[in-house]
Amino acid sequence: MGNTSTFGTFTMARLGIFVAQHALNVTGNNISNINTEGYTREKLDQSSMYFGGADRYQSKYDIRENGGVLANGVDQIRDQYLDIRYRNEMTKVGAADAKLDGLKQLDAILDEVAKGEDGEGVLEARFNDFLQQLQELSKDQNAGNDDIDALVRSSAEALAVQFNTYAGRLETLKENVTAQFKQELDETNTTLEKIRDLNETIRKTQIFGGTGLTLKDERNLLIDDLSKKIGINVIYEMENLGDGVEVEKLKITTSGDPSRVLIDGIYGAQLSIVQKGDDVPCKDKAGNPVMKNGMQVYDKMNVDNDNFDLAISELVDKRGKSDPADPNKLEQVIDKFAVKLTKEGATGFKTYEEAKAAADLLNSDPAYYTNPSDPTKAFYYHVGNAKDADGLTDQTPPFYIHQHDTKMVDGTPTTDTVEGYIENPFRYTEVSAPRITKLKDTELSGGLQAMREMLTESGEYATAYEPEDLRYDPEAGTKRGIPYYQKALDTLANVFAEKLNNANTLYGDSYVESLDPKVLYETDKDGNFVAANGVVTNDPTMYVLKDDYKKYYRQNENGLFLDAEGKILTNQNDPTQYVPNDRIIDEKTLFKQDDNGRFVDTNGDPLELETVIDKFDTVSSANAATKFKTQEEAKAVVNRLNSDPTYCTSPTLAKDGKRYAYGLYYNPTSEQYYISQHKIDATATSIPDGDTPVNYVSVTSHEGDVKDRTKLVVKDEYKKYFETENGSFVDKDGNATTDPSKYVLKEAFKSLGGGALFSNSGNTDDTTEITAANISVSNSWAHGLNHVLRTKAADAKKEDGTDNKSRLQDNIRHIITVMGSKHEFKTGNEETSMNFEGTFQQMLTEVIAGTLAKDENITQTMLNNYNTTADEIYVDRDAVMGVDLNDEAMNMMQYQKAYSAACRLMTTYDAMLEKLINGTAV
Amino acid sequence: MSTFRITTNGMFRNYRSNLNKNNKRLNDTMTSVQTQRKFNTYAEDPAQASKAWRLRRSFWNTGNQIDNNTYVISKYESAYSAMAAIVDGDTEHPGLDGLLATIEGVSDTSGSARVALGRDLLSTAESIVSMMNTKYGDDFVFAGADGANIPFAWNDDGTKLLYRGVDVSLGKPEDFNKFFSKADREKYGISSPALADFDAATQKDISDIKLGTIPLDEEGYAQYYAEHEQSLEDFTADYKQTNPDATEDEAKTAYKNKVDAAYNNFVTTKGNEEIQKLTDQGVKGITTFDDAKAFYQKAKAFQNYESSYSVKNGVSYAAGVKDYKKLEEMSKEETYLDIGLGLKEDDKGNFVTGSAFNSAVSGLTFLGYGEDKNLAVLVKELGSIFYRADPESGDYASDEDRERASVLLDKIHDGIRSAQGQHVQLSADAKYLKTNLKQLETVKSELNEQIMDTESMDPAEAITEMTWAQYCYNAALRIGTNILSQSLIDYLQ
Repeated sequence: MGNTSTFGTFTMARLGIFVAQHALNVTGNNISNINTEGYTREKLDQSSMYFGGADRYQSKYDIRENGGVLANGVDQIRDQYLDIRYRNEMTKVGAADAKLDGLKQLDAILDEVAKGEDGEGVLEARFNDFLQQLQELSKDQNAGNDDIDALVRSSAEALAVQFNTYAGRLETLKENVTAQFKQELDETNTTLEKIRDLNETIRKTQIFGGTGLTLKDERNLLIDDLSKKIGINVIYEMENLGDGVEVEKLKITTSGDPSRVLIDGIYGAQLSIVQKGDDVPCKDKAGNPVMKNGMQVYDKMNVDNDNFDLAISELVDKRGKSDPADPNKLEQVIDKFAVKLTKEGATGFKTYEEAKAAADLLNSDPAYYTNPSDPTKAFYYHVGNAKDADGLTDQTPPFYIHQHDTKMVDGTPTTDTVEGYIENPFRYTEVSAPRITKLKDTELSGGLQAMREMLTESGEYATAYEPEDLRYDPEAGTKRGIPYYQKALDTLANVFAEKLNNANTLYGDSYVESLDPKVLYETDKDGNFVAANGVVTNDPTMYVLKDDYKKYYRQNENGLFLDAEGKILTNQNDPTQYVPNDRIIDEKTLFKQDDNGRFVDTNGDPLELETVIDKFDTVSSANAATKFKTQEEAKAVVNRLNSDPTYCTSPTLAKDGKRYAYGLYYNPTSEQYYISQHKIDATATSIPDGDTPVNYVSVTSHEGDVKDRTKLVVKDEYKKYFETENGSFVDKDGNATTDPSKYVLKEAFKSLGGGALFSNSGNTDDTTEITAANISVSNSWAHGLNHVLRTKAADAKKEDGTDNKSRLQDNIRHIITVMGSKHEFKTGNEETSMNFEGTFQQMLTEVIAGTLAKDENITQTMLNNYNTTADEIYVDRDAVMGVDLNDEAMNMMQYQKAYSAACRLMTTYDAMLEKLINGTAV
Repeated sequence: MSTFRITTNGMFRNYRSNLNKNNKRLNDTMTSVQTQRKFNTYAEDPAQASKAWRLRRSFWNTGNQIDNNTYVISKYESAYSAMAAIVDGDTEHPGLDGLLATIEGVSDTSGSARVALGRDLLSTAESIVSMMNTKYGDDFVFAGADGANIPFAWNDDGTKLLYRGVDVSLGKPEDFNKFFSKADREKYGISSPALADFDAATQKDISDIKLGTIPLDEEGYAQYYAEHEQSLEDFTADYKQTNPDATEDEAKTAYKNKVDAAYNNFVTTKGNEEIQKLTDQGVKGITTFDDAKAFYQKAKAFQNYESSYSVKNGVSYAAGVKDYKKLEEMSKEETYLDIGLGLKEDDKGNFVTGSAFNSAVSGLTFLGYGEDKNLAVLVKELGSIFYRADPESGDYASDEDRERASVLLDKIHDGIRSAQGQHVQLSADAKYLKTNLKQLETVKSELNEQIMDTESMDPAEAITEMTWAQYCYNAALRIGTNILSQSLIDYLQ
């Protein structure tokens, strides 16, 4: 039988009391913290006390009871798997919430349901009103009535103003969301900082043996918060401090890419918007441009980029010390750059290496080495120091980066200084070149990304304007943020203005010639003409014609410019060779046609059309060749091929004095024609009889323009439109011509009293680049110089240019039809464009507002789902970590009983020993 | 975990979330009741909202079409009653029908009432013109596409009726092609005076060409010779003097020989002068005397017609061509209005005629135009003839008057028939418009119903839903008061 110490049992009772009291304390703490946000239920970790070790002479009959209870510590009850699930769900909630918030704000602008008088809508009602006024104008009693024209105009004004209002509100919304996004970004950065700082405190606590439970609660709460803004992965690792001491280390990465680390123990990163340099001319206090050596000095100001690209900064600790094991792939970027004329405000680098790295970066980026005022000169960046202009002898910090003028040779900067300068002048620079990791579009998820998408995504327009977006994010084409709605509204305003202006205008040949070249050709933002490579030029042959104006010049079906004879220009890039279109509205109106709509000559016979080759291939077998059903069809293609050097000549054949020629083959069995390719002498005019074909031809083609435009016949009623001299039509040089395509419109008919109804500013009639923000009633219409064109009929104007009194109103009817017709609304260029076809009002209510509504509806449903799931997981998680009053009441009773029992044990022992000590006779 | 642990806060969170949902639902149903709308934002029901926009647009368009339709009906009614007054007459004027019956009655028997009738006819002509100048609102009804200007007016001396400045009795000029085919025009490098503006400078206005005196052929020349040089009689007399034995036949033969010789001489000498004269005037393709003859023949015919046209119509042929073309165009003027026929243009941008209603009413089609076609002019002329008849006997002032009166009477008959036909057509059109209006109104009311169905909430349904939401919300509140008080703690002593 083993020994039991007399008072040992007291210890057991004491431990019982002690532990029960601790347990009651923990229960009390749990109850008190029931409403503390993020509080995790704690529990006393208790174990039975075991007297360890075997006695040397222990009897196997000995009874070894344990020594009571021990409190080992206080633990948190938490399920990390539920944390992960909850945070993942919260990322979705955050994203959907932010998106819905943005959509609701858009909705407040663009959703017209139940708005306006009697729910007629706002812009929609303006469209209806405009149409109603046009209908009123179309009544013969009102046609040409200036009062009704004024009513149409004021309705158009209200329509334009509503467009402007919407565009303005969208712009304001974008600004607000931008501000909100930046604020969220700041808050996220603050959260990241707090987590990093808490990590350090927890680490310290743990090193000194503490648990840091409340700190962890606080940290968990911050991580929960972070998960709403960014999709994250939370990883707990153990950090070995040596001597067997290990502390917990928290690592947070983005969920999109585990190698993008936001928090690495005591090191933390910050998120920032990647800055974009844009050159701004320096001005002095008086607002005059700052010049040096006769040249304008430019500042590259740091401005936000439109795409709001985000970057993760270097991982640093609280004191700014870098993480030696920074796992992020960092690169150095120019974040801020400005040119300074003096040392004041310039950046002084502490080490030469640091400055050199920044200077190298500047020298490698065209944005910084290109001299916008002179393409023959470049900027060269060089590390000098404060004392010496050459900067090479004195190596005393701080080191400054100087900007020098050097020669630009073929677009490449050199280190040669520009000739003619007495000295090598330089300017100081202010440079900030941090090391960051750029994040791609899809690398973030959560609220922040949703807001970024709200600010940047343009849906269907992405294909045309932001092909980069699609490369990063294949779904960019279906993500629609504020820019989508802005662009869609712009498209609507633009197409509306274009269609109405076209319907109301009769363009003459000199329309483009009357325009300011600066309107016609591409210029830089200072108004200098630029060549196709973007270099400023004064050579008109290098100018680049803006896309919008290409239609006013003669082009073939494939968009290639033609000369006056209708031949394709050899130099397609020289706008001085382009020939202005001298067609009125469309040729169908102007030239005589037969019943099938084909242009006819003076005898009424249809004119021959050009054959345009779409696709051409040679094939070795006749079977693979393209078959033609009629000889005429095949002949047209053969003639076309034989007349075009592209298909007839080849450098290799030319060496042997040969060329290709094409012939017609007929297969009597299938009754089909096909085309053969022959090699013949370059000088030969026909294929020798019995020549064996070298190949056959696979070809697709279509009918193009009239081959000989001089044979077109102007309809009699339109003849009076053109300038004549001594009864003969003349071209624009005043020489008599029989080619109707060269006839020159009389001044009076250039516009039949119509003209642009809408322009890009109320002060001009400029119809280019009309957007929702700038659409206005044109200056001429506003001042009554233009009006809604009643008719384009030949007798609408007298030859002296005055109005004919006749009240035909076919053009008003046409405009009404335009209002109700389907138009194409393009989201970009031809190849990648995704188009919507519908009326103006359908574009407004179905495409713009409808898309928004559907998106909002879906997002709302998704948010509800995410919220429900998040709620469920929260409850699940709370089931583990939360405090329950019933539970705690039970604990309270339990520990109270345990306490009472331990006390009772004590009194029992006491009574027992009382007997033993005092009641036992000695 | 075998037994799921529901914590106090978990329960509160659930409760809060559900209470909030209930509250939102209550708010939504209350909004429905207040606004009487099924949806208040597009996002609530995108499909229905989109449908509602389409319906509303159709509703709006139908409204415009009804407005246009009503306008045309009113205009047609004005036109109809004006025409009725002309044909059937009113209290002040006898209708054309009645007048005609009277004329026919009197012309056969006693002519004593002719002068009085003439006066009546003259005043009827005036009243026809004034009726045709009827206005609807500020718009002249019968003015075709030019409702702003008075359509019919007499010229200063009251001899011609003008429609928008053009004489309605203008004779239809012969087509220039009849005199000079296209090939001829190209050959000679000449053009009609009416087309001169449009042709090349090298072309010559035919009216300006001074023609010489080319005989048409030998026979013709003989006649010419007889008229200008010496007649056969004179020649025979002279011939017999020198050749007393000569017979008549010999003299004739000698005369013929002389004419032939002169002709040949003319062809070689004077003929060349003619060719030169025409060439100098810019006529092309005249190289032989035959060319000159052929040209002369055609040009003479045209110039004769030109002068006769000008005498008859008081305007030059060139002006006549232009004015008559104008009359034709004005009679066909169209002003189309959208009255719900599906206004549209084809792929080429050409207006599809049947998709809108032509609201233009031209006085020209009602009264007629061209030589002896216009009813008002005919009536006026007949009136003048009657008026200048002998007041006593009623005899016509001249035989010409008598013949003319009989011609005019026939023409007036034709004119009245045509006007009556137009009158009937007008009535049919007005009937069609009224049916169309009825149809449009039905469509509008159906659209309105559909809009109501799509957008508006049935009050009973809305209130039921709100009551139910209210009930759920109250129940949720009740649960709240229960769970707030319940826990084991409450039972601890």
